[in-house]
Amino acid sequence: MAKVFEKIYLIDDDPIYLFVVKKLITEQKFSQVVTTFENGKLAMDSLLELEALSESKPNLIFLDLSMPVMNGWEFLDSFKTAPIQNKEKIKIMVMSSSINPTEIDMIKSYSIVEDYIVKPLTPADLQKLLAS
Amino acid sequence: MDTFLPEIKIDNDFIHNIPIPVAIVDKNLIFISHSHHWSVEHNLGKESITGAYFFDIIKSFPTELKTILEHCLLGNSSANEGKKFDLKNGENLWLKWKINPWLKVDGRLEGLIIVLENITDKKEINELVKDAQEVSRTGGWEVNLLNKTSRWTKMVNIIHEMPLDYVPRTFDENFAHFKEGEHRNKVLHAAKKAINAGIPWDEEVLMLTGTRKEIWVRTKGRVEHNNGKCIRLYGTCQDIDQQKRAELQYRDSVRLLTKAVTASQVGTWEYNLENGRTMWDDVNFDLHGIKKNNYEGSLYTNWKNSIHPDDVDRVKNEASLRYKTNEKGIVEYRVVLPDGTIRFLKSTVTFISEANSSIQKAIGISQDVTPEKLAEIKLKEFAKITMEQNNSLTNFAHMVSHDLRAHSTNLSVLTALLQDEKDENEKKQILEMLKKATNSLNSTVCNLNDVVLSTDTNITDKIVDVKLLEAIHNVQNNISTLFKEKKGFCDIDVNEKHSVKVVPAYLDSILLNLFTNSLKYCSSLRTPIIKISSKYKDNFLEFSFCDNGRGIDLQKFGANIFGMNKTFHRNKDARGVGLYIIKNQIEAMGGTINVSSEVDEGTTFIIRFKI
Repeated sequence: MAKVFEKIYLIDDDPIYLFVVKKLITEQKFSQVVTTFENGKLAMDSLLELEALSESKPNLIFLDLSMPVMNGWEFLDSFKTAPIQNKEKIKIMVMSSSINPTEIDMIKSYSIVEDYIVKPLTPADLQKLLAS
Repeated sequence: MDTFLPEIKIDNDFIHNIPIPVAIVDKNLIFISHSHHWSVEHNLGKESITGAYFFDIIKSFPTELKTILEHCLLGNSSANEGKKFDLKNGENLWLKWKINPWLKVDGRLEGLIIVLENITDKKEINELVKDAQEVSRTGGWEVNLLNKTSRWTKMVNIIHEMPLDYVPRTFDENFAHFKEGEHRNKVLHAAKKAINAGIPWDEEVLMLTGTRKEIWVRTKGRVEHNNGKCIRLYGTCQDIDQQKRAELQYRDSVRLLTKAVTASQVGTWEYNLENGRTMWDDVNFDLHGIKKNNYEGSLYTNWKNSIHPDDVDRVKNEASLRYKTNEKGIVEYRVVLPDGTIRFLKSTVTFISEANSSIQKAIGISQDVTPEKLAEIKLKEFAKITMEQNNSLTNFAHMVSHDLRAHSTNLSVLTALLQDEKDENEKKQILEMLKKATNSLNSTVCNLNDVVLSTDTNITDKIVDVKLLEAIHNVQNNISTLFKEKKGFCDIDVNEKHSVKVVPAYLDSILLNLFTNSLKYCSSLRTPIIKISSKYKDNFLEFSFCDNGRGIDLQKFGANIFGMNKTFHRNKDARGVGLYIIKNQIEAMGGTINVSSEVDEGTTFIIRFKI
């Protein structure tokens, strides 16, 4: 089962949240490699670098919405147009504390977004992802 | 020939020349002689009828006449001033006659002398006149001024509802029937003028009939003079009661309508599409602030000039479109009155074609809708404010939910982890995180509190006059450390006398926010320079705060820069909340804030404070 999500990106500007999610993923043995970024820009730079070096890209990205520098929305827009091969193999999960219905509708209108999770991330969410 | 009728001495030539229609017949009704007038009167032509039988010659005569003639042959006379006979063909025949028996000295009857006139035409005209008098209810009257006698035709008596044989016995009695006062005086005055100056009259007055009924009559009169002396007064009397009352009623309705129209301040107008002729009523002139009797040029030009400059083109377009399509509808526009006030008018237009002509007219009414319009504008403003407040409340609610959830999530997950954690080192790390999370929650709650306070509009009693320059210096001193750290520089051009009406704590918060934002987001390439200036403008003090920092991409954030779309629980991104709070504080004090900015060049805030 661990083979499915070899490499995971975690993008959130809240260090506490990064800490707990990372801990959860390790405990659940969901993935071996978890890389964290405190904003969308850093994650995008990393993706482009991997592309340039032809190294393996993450299978799954957990993305927060409100972040400084490059927020979740901007990351999604940027990802859509980025020169990255095999994008379809990268699943994007949006995570946020927002329960604003207009925001949730907007998220769902992005075809590249796999699903939306209201924080916190739970073991059940991870199991569901593995099953899909 | 004398031998044939030896005893009858008749001079035919003599009889022929008698100027009336006369004939002489014998006992057997055979014509002996007749006048020329007889032939003419009865259309007999030039041929002699002597020796012919009476009814052979005039076949159309009724048989009743035969009876009369036979009666006369018995020695009787007969006379009639005019008798009507119904002929077999349905026509009427009016005859007037005088018949005498022709008697010899010894009393023997020799024949008849007949004077017979056909007065049908004359009678029929008389009948028509009589009918006309009855239909028009017009009668004639006269007063003989020499012997003071009066004569009335029957119709005058009928109109007066007096016995048919009544006639006024004295001169004054001729005027007694007119209603006392204004009406009688009017006729007396007219009669006097007629007698003295020969001027005829024609008046419509009220009179009282024999049954004391009040009716309207038209009295016409004129005089006849003889040798400079007035001898006769005559004229007509017509019953015009029905027409007059209808007319008066109509006039009353028109007056009422005019009154109603004037009272309702509805102006009416008419525009002839063929020749451009324009007609306005008084109210319409008033509504447009144009003096009815004192304007130059065409009414159209004056109308156009009265319209508010911002509305002219639109109104012209709408009007010409309506004239093209003949579609009725409403055009609204503002007019600028001579004293400069603005009035909102609503003009309803409709199109009509006049009967029997191709002429097209536009007619309409104009109404002053200023109070309604002003109320509507105010209502829209309220609705806008309410909507803004509602939006910001929704925003606020979502943000509060988001931020509090973020913390509570962290806290609950961290405590759960702590419970399960065996490793002491890990436990320590989790505790550290818990501490951070509780601190964040605390600062979020503080921020929320600030936001709530900044939206408090009930601050009137806290507003005082504050010298702007003093406030700036105070805040500058408070953050001198930050200034030193960023090596910032201030260029202040504010008159020390400039004061503003503010809540002092709000002003401090506003200035503090502006300064810290400018320094925090300064450009790493330049020395931070903040330029501050102030000037009076439109009852406000305009305060300009300009930096040369990183700037804000307004194309991207423009509408939301003062909004709460940014979360504020992380210090890194506190800018959004700060601006939201100061905007609320400024607006609560009756001011405004605007921003202009270029990325990598700097940001300028223009704030207006009440003075």
